[in-house]
Order: sequence, then structure tokens, then C-alpha cells
Amino acid sequence: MASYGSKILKWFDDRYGVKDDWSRQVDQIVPAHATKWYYCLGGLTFMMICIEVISGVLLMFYYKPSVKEAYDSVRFISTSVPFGWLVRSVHHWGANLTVIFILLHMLRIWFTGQYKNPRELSWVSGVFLLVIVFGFSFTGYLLPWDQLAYWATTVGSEITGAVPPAPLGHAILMLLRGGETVSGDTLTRFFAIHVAVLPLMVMLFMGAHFAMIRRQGIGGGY
Amino acid sequence: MLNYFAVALSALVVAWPLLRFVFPPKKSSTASDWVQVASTSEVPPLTAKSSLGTKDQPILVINVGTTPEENKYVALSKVCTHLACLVDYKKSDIECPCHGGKFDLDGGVISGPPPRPLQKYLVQVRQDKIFVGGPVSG
Repeated sequence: MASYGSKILKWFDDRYGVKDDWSRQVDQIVPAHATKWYYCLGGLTFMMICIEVISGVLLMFYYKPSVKEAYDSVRFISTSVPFGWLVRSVHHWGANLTVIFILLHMLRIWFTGQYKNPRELSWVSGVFLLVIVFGFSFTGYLLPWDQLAYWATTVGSEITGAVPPAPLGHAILMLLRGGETVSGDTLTRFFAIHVAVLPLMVMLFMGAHFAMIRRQGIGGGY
Repeated sequence: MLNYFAVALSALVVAWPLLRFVFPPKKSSTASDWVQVASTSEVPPLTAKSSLGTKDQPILVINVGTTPEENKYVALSKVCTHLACLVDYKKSDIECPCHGGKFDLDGGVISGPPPRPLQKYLVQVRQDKIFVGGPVSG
């Protein structure tokens, strides 16, 4: 196994000189203070997001974002598609766990004081990631298009309408709902945000988040 | 060796459901034109039974006959035409628990917010079994 792996690596290295870049990423030494369990929470969050991406793409194989078909397609996934109940449940509970892990990760950063100089921007990008994940939760909640989804989105989006001054709040509300009320236009809009806009943003901010950690190393240990 | 086996096994445990998921399921062969919903003994006159019709639509089978000799069955969608709550049979009418809509035993609106009558479905009695078919248009 190992020899196959190194042969493949050598093949690429002969042509593209990838060995240094590869080992710089893979052969990282984890500092001793960072091997406690609570230093895993950020990594767990990343793992959950990977699971959400995989299960989410799979759900998109069968999900249909229209008023007529959304509910029935979700029901079809849960009742007729082999292991559809499993994939949907993994996506649902994974979403809950993602938020929980992020909050625990934040607590760890807070109590080990790692938001301080020189890691201010790691914290800031992390807060952006938290908001993005809340965006995922809010938009994803509408997609099953059942009574719970409909009214939760009605109530949730109504909040933006209270932003002063009134014309601004109303403009944000219209932007979010795509109309005066939650309708099929809201559904397609939320679907686009959920599967295209937010994934791009989460990749961007996670990339920055990880690049800063790689450059500065894992803090703490004091 | 045992490690490779464990890795292969866990990969299989994850891959198998995912592989099954991406292959489309067979269109269910039970989606026939008529579905047996009850036997006649379950629905004596002036009672009703909730069941699932074709395409698993929730339906209400009502015996609107008034004497044991005179059985007449009506099948109505349980989905209220107002906001899609499930209606219930209440002796002389059908009521929606959400916003108080009332329908007569033929599905017509008596009072409340529902904008349209309940959808009717075809009913057939074969021997002592009640079957429900597709929606009645108009």
C-alpha cells in the first residue's frame, strides 16, 4: 500500500514537483498542548460541514424546489428512496451538530484567549462563518415546504421588515422573500442561497480561516 | 492486515447506502388505479374511516346510508382546501380542527374559511371490500 502511494507521489513529483507542498500540508507536527480533546472542536466542525456537503448534494439528486413538488419530493426521499431516510436524517442532525460544535469551538477559543493578537482575524472570520452557518440553517429550514417550514420562514423573515427606517426594512423583506409574502419565489430564492451562495462563502471564509492557522500555528498552551 | 480489513469494511458500510441512494428506486408497482381502504363491516351507516387512497393521499370513507340495509359510501380527501389541515368526520358534518371549516357529507362547504369543496374520489364496493380510485373531476 505504502509503496503504491509513494510511487504515485513520485510520478507526480517528477513532473510537477509537488513533494514539498504535499509534505508541508501532511507532515504538520501538532504541538503537545493542542492534543487535548477540546482542541478537536474546530476540526469536528469542518468534518460536519463536509458531511453536510456530501449529504446535501445527495439530497439534491431528488429534491425539487417548487411549490408543487417540494413537499412530495422530500416525502419521496424519506419513504421511497433506498436509505433516503438515512441521508435526510444525517443532513438534518448534522446541521444541528454543526451549530453545536461551532459554539463549543468558540468557547474553547474564548477561554484559551486565542482571539487575541495576533489572531484577531481568525476570530473575525470565524464569526463570519458562524453567521454563514446560521444562514444555512435559516434557508434550509424552508426547503421541506411543510407547515412548520412555511410559518417559521414567515415569522423569521418578518423580523427584517422591522429594520428602521421603514422603507429600508421593507426593501430587505422584499429582497429576502422575493415578494410581499412567503411564496414559491421565496422557495427558489432560498434554495439558490442554500446550495450556491452560502457554500461559496463558506469555502472562501474557511479557506482564509485555515490559511491563517497554517501561517501562525495553533495558539494556546499558556 | 486487520487494519486494512477494518478500513475496507467501514468504507463499505458508508459506501453501500450512498450507492443504493444514487440508483433511482423502482417506481412503486402498488400505484394501481384502485386501493382497498376498508371492509364494509368496518364502516357501518353514519360512520367513517380514515385511510390512504391512491398515491397515499389521505382520504375519508364515509357511509352516508341511514339504515343497515342502505349502505352508500363516499370518499373525500381529508386535506382541507383552506390550509391543508386534515379534516375529521363528526356525525352530521366534516370539520377542520385548524380554523373551524365545516363541510357537508358530500364535501361541500357549509361554513368557515375553506374556499372550495373537498376533493371527491371514486368508490367501488367489490364483495365486502371498499376500494377507492382516482379523483372525481368537477
